Amino acid sequence: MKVNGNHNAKAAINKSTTDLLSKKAVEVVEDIPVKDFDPSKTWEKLSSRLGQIDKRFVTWGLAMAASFSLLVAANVDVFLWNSLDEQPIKKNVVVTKEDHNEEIAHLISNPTVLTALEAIPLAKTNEPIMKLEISPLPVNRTHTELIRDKKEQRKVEVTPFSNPFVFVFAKVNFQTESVSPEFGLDFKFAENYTAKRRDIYKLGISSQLNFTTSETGKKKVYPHTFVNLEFASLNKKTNKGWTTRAGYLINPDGQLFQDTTIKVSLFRNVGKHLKVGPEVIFTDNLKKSYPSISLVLG
Amino acid sequence: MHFCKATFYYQQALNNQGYILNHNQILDDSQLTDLCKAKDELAQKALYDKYANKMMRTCLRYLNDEMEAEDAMIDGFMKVFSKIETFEFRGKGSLEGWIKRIMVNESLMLIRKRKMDQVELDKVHNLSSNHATVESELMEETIVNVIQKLPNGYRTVFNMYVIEGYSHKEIGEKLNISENTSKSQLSKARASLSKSLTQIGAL
Repeated sequence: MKVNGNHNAKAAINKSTTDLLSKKAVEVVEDIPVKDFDPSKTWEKLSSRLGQIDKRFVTWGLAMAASFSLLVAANVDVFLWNSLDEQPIKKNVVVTKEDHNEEIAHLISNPTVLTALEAIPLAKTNEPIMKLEISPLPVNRTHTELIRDKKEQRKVEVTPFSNPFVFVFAKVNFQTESVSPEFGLDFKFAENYTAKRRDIYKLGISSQLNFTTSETGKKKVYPHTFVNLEFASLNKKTNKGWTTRAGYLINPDGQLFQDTTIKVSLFRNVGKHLKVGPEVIFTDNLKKSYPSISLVLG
Repeated sequence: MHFCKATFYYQQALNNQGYILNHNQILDDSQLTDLCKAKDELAQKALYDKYANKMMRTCLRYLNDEMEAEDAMIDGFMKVFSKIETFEFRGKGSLEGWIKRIMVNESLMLIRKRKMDQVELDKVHNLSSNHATVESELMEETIVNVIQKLPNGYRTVFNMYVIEGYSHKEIGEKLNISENTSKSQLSKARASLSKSLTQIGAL
């Protein structure tokens, strides 16, 4: 027991000495310059990364400016969506038989109207009594008006086999330092429409190609596959409108894009087959973001 | 207010250590913090110059690889500059402690990414091979080298517990291991280190 006790005490002293020695050594060494470490070179790398953040802000600003200019170019009709849908609808006034009878009763009860009728002596005319025809009076008849309600008018149609059902598109993303093409396939799965607009829902898949150049000058292509969900709201006549799309990356490469990666886009449909707008890719569990401006054909 | 401060400091030259001089006095951490919060580039550089070596040492203690340590340090400083607005200066040493914590976290993140095994006994270095260089180095530097050459699991737990002062509970949470595993790793690290320190004549 005594031997064990001495051993334990010795071990405890040894333990604390090891800790103290290590701690002191680390404190002393912290002020000694690290061999082969050039802080100025590392600062260059760090400042370039800090600069990249600034560049991203500039790009983001550019994307926002582009979106704003698109709004202006589109005659700000995005702000008029509601008014378009709520434009005064031609009111169909239908007068029913009951209303007509009510009308006659109203005339009978109104002496001013009856006076005119009484002024024509029945004996003075051989003509058969004509059927009384009274045109509708401008009376408030809100309860009789059948106004097509906007909600009733809106129909939801699931058109899985409507034509066109499949859409193919090609896209170019202009990023801060590179340009990346993208090709994809979309499937329409639902469509809503109002008097002026139609809303289309699509689900699809796309492949974005990103290029990198290694220090040795070798170029490498990274194909990134996204699963996309798209919503487009277009003017029926002009096909102009807005499209939003969200995509989820199913094959992060670990280099350019890692962990959870999604992309979000807002496009202005400038023509039947042309869209333009900003897009942001959030990667590394949404910690990093890469904005770009995209041009879509399809 | 920051602009006035910055303009004043801009008039001062940088000394050879990279700190901004203010009437022959080194700019203190409180002033550096204020200027960095105002996104002052010179102050950012001064802060980096002041702590780069120390933080490189910290990252090296965990990662034992210069390239990786540099990456961790750069990521750490990026975080420092982006989150400095949330930092509250609480006297001498608080800024350094805060930056060090960030560097330790960045190093741990890199270790996690590497998915290293907790203990790599087969990679235990033969410490006796360093004997030739003992005389040419400071004893403290040799001790630090010995710590750096511990297996990854031992080294991480030893650094966190003994040098940084984390509790076993905190270590367990950060490394996603149990408290008992942390204790066991520390015990093994101490035993290995003690043996090595005796070998080099430090104990």
